[in-house]
Amino acid sequence: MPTINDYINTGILEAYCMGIISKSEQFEVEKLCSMNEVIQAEVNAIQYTLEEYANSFSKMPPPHLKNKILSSINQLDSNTPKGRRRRQ
Amino acid sequence: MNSTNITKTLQSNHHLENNPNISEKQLVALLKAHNKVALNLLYDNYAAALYGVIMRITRSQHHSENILQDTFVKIWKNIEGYDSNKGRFFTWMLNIARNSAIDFVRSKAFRADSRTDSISEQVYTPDILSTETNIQTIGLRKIVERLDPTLKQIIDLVYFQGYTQREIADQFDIPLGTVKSRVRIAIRELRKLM
Repeated sequence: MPTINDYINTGILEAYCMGIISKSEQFEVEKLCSMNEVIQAEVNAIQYTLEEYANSFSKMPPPHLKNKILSSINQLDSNTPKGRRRRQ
Repeated sequence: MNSTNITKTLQSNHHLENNPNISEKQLVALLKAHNKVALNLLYDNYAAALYGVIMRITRSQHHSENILQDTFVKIWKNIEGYDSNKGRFFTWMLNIARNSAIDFVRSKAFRADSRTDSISEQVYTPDILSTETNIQTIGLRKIVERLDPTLKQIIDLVYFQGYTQREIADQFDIPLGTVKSRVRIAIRELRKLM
């Protein structure tokens, strides 16, 4: 019977974190992840690695952008019909 | 964070503004409660990381600004759908940014005008990088540079260019099994370096 380590060594968790597996495989990984702490810890470590990789490209956006983005979201919310939020 | 705590924090936005070091878990809870101060903090904490990834994909400042805006709008609109059991919050946001940027680069609109504006914008890039990059980022970059170039290329093709393993196999004429094992090895090596 394949062990958890065998499963981890297939590389499917790396592929899952890179977003390059099929929907059914993705579903399988998520299910196993919720059932097994070792697999969950492995996914967490891989995701953290990719986060740090992404962080290595970090770059400050132009300062004017913050106001533009936040006010576009404010506007979006004020266009939402009253009460809709509450029902969510 | 339970609902009483959220309510307390909501009542003390002033406290929140002066405390940018709240945990990711608290931040998510506040965003789910549609707290605008939390949105402000979210921007301060993550905009540079998300923008950097988007810039890396589009290589265009103008387009990256628009895609960063789309990304924050999507985060705000879809925050209810984020499930911490399925993965890390920053990973979830990075995937929204990456997918938005990759979809855009692959669109007809981008292909049509990338010939005209990307060259002039790329000239500015090194300057912006050198003056606005913090020490932590420089440290991480040095670590990433130690990764074998072939392995780095495979991560970049998948992570920044959205290639599937099959597409890499076809384009570089290498067996699919080799691509799959390189993806696995690349991440493991990177993990060891971190």
